[in-house]
Amino acid sequence: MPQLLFEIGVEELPALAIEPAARFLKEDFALRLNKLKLTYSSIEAFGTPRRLVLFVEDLLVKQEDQKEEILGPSVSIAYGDNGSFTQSALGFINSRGLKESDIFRKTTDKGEVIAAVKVDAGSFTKDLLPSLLVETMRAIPFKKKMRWEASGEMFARPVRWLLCLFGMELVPLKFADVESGNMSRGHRFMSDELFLVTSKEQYLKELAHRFVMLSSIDRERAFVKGAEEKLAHIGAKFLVDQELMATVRNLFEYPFVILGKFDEGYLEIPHEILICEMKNHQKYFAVYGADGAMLPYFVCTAGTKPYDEEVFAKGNARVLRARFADGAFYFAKDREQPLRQLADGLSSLIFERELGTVKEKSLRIEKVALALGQAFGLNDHELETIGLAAPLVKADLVTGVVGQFPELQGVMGRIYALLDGEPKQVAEAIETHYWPRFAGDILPALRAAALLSLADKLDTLVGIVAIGKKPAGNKDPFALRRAAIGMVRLLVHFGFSMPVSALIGVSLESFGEQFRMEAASVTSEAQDFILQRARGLLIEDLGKENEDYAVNFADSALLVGSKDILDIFARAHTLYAMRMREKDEFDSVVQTFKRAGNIVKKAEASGEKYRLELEHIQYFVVPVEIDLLRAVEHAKNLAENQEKKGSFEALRSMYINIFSYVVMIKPKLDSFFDNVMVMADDKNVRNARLSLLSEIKQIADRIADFTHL
Amino acid sequence: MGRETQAGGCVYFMVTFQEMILRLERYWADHGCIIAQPCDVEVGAGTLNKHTFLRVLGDKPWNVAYVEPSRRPADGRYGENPNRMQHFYQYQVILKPCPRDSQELYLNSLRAIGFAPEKYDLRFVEDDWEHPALGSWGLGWEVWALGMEITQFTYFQQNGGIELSTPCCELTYGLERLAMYMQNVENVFDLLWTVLPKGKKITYGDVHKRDEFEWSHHNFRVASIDMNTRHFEDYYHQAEILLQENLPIPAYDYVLKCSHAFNVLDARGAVSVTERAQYIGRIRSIAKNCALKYLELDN
Repeated sequence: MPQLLFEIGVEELPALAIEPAARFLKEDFALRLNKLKLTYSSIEAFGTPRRLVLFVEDLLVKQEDQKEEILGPSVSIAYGDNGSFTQSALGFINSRGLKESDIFRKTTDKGEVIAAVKVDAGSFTKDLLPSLLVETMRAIPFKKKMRWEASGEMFARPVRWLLCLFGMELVPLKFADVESGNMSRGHRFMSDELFLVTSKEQYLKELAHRFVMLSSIDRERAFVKGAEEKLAHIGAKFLVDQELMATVRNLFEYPFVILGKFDEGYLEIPHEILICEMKNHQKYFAVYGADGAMLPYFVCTAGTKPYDEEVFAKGNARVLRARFADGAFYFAKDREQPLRQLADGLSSLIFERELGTVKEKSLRIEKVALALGQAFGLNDHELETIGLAAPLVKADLVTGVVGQFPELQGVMGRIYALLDGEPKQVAEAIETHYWPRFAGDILPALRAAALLSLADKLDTLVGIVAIGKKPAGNKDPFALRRAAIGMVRLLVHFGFSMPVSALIGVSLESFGEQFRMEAASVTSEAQDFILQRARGLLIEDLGKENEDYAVNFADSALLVGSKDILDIFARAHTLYAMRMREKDEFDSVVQTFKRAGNIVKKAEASGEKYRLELEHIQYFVVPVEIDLLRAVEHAKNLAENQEKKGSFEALRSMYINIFSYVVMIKPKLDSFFDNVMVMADDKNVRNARLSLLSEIKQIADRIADFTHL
Repeated sequence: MGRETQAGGCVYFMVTFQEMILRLERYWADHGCIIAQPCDVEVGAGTLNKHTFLRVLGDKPWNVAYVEPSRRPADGRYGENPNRMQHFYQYQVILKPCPRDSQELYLNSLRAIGFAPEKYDLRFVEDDWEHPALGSWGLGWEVWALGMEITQFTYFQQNGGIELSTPCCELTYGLERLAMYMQNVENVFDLLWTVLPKGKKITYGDVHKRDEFEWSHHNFRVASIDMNTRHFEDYYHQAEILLQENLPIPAYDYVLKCSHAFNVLDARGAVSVTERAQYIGRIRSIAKNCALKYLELDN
């Protein structure tokens, strides 16, 4: 069976868009083929800066005919007295495009009807391909797309040619102002002329001659091999920085390795600055000796075969020299004053117009971190670290190096603090108070740094919510969602226990009088925002094991009990673990308590509240009632004697205990339901029974709202 | 001379700064561009010239090329830095609508000035140009020669907050950088500007070094803060009146004057962070109004 070869020729795509686009091309097109029942033996896609390529092997040439049985009116209506078709039968035949000879009788569970088999002839693949391919092209989820000609069609960069062959045949299709053909091009500078394509094998052979390596994996291998060979000469190693490599292997269609050298003197400025220049700005790899020390060399790729490697190496080195000179200049200038003095500059850096300067923010961070630190039981040494670090955490924002390289914020703060002789923990806290910076990022190691991070994020979130600039839709300029998620992760990881509203209260306090009037509304808005993020994170956490239950477990824990993130997580995880350990037992416990909970909810819907009081006791007369009452009191005593401890693990084991007390009630509750009518006619008896069930619900509510499971 | 250079394959004799500009003018004239002249109001970039800012709006075809002397007061270094100046030259080309072979046209323009792309490892490096203050953005590349940016190549998508109904190509050559590569010079002031008939060499420094010194003093020390603050308000007011009178083209010139007054104030260190945001916000909104009015009257 024939193969499909589809190549989208483009102007240079952004490096990081290439691999995802190729992956999408393959997955999306496979889905479309499957939907149309077009079978194939294999499908592959590749990308380079100048082309996205799709290969499908042994693709079906024509869809199979589809047979469908359609049923008409019943025989009694379909045939007239003389045995000929009635109007209603003819109506059916004509409306479905059938012939009278197609009709046969069929017995169904609704009696005997007239029926026919309709055959839908399958389409030829070559007729389906144009719209399928164009739809896939339109669907590629590039981060940014552009228009370039009159049709208004969009792509990441202009499409300049399309090659589409199915078998030996050209498949005519059009995207924007480009019509497909049977021609392709080689490397832009080394083989740009058009060449004729007749088959995949011939195409691949031509590309190999024309300096195009289709596979990014092959490009990476070739680059690493070339780099290792060159580095062996100077006794250096090549350490692959994966993040950088993901870009570099997609910068060129064919890699040519260049080894360059820079002035050794630059090794005296912090290596972070050098690496930042090389990696982020020039896409060069740093080079290290066998002992791990940085060497004054770099490795990079040229996109065109160097006519003289020395010239290429020197050219690239020259750009690097200008950049290093800039870095060295700003570093020297920054070092004219200690970081503590530089921090004075924060009073002229605006954080947000209504929320004041970054200096004011730092002062609030300090207050909040210290207050929370005391509440969470940090020791004197840790509190001292917070006090020393807080005025410095943002200080590097006014340095020249961070002005030039914003990605070094925090890192330069650490370096300058160490050079100033600040304690090591202080320097570490400065750098790591930004962590976690993004989803899945590492957390700070020090508790002092965790509190500074928490206080910083809390300050941004509460402040921005208070001035009414909470994110709406996709716009989240202050990254409040990320801040809230970071806070939740810190609270859970470090076992910091405090109701969310209290955390917000501590932050509001640090703003002094500013938001006193609207404190209540700000608290509720900020709390909702944080809990919403916590819910998302919890669902994600639980969903790793089993998605079906994640939402229910998260919600059941969030609906009742304290609004303390650590506590919520511990409760949800406990339930989840219980469910995973013993599914049947768990489900039957849940059923029983759900029933109790639902009865109470329904009774209380009228606004009445049922609480077990001494006066109710006299109305318990049936033995199963009395048994249940005893069991409930016992479980309640045990549950109340559980000491609430700090860490996530301690909380979890506490909730496992409470769950086991709930389980203890279950048999008594079952026989209660089996033998007693809760909604008794006697009002006093009814109230007593409802109050008892309410007591049970309250015990269960210590963990979660079971009615939600 | 151009042809000999290409036949040789390599640049063995020097293309002067002046010759480079002349060749670019010739090339783009031959390729259907109007050769326009710089804006006579101070601008920070060729994009701000009305030949670009206003003409990219709407659907009328427009192909233009011009040198733009660009002023960035805060970048002055008294003529002491080998790369940085408060006044430099851009070569700006607008191709509207985008030709299908825009990249080839650009590469051939480099060949025309004797800059063989193959010899300099020319690369199109992703760079999404964005000027939020003017509500403008486009996708394209920084063009690198051996790791150094020599041109900004943009498919303009939106300008002045207005989606461009006909996208266009914007090429902005950094003339000094390009020349420094071609002449293999490390200090901009050593660039050969031209050689006079009797063989006397004129350098970039001969033409501009003293300017850099004096203007840096002006920008950083002497420029009157009061006057520029006052002028900003006057120009702004004038622009508003002109817009009310349906005269967006002169109004736009006054916006440019505002923008330059602001840049001078900024270089003088007279603008606090808060004021800065306010100034930029005002420039943005009135520039957008000019664009809207221009388009409205153009249709």
